[in-house]
Amino acid sequence: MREPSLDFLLDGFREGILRALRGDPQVLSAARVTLQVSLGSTLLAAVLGLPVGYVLATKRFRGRGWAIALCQTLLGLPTVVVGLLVYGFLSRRGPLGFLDLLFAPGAIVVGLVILITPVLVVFAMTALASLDTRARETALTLGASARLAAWTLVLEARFGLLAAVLAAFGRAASEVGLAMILGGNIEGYTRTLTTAVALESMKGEFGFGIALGVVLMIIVLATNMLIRLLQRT
Amino acid sequence: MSAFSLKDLQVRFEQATALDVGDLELPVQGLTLVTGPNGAGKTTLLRVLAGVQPPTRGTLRYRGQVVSFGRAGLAHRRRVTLVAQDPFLFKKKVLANVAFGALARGFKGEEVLARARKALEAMGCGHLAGRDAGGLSGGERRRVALARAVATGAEILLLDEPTAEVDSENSERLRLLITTLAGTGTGIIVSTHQPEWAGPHARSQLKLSAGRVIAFSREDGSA
Repeated sequence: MREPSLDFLLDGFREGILRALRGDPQVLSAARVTLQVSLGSTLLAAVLGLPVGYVLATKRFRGRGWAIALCQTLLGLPTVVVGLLVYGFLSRRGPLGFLDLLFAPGAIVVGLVILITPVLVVFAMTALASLDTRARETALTLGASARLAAWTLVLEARFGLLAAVLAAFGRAASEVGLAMILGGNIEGYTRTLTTAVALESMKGEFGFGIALGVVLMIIVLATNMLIRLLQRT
Repeated sequence: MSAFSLKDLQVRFEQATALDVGDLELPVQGLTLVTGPNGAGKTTLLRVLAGVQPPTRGTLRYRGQVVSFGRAGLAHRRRVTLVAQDPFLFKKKVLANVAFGALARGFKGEEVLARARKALEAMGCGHLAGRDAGGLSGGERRRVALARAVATGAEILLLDEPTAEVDSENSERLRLLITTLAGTGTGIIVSTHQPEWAGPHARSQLKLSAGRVIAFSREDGSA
């Protein structure tokens, strides 16, 4: 029986960092796919989620409380459940099967949009609602149109809104279950950093997994540092 | 013709009546004071006149025209402007803050900057133009907010308690600026706790209590 040792872990880290620094083509390919699907889904979710966050923060209407509760509940959506549902819709027998998106980056983007839109809605709503309520009225009393007053409010909340976008991006980049189910983990096409880590660790390629993990951590760390920087600003 | 004509005007917040002034003509030539204790309805009246607080009942006319509220009230909101008791400054440079109203009213480029700079100079804060608005003292914030209102070129300035919670030096400075401005022909309505605030400069004075008008005196002696 082997003695427990840290050498195996240390060797893995050493190999991983070297592969990451050398720019291993498989690592770079997974990083490219990760960035593509994360940026694409964040962009789409921002277009959908930011206006909803604005409406929930600034308008009073019947059912608003329920809408907020729904968005907050959706924050905790299990990713594999989203993956499974989207899989059902996009599979050949599903209602959206004709789109032929399954096991393509587009399928991962669809799933990620569903997953991260609530993040954007809730964060944007919080950023806008925590703003001084006088911001909009000041703009109106200075002769701004309703549209300009709304835009002024958005500009006042710009750092909070950007932090919301970055948080959503971070969630998308670190997602694994959904990417596995919808993308199929096809090398060079739908294999993201997270799905590659899952695969390599199962194969016992600990070093390679570490290399992928290092790149993923750099992306997530950079995103979080940006958020902290914006929050301080 | 009176600047503002209020007819059967009432504002209610849930069950409480904040303002119930009935019929009232406000001429607004020079400086008009709106006085009364806390909760008298001074702020609510100014917000109604500014076009941002729709009345629960009644109508408001400005120079004979019925004032609309909400989106349709844009034209009115460009003829008058309100400086709140605790004015809000945008997270921008002081110059950009002061230029906001002029930009919103459709003035362009150099003219906007010229108006903003002139208003800042007039309020004695030209040296603050390049500062971040967030770093100003209380007195500076009030003067910048006043400059921002002046730069809009609005016909009437509505100033809600412009010297409340300001030290005596800044309070006197603001009072002088406002009375001087009123002397140049700008219509100004100031709400204040102190009836003697403007000394001999006030041309009319409206006293409110619990949302109702209890006295209205004009320089010509009519009431």
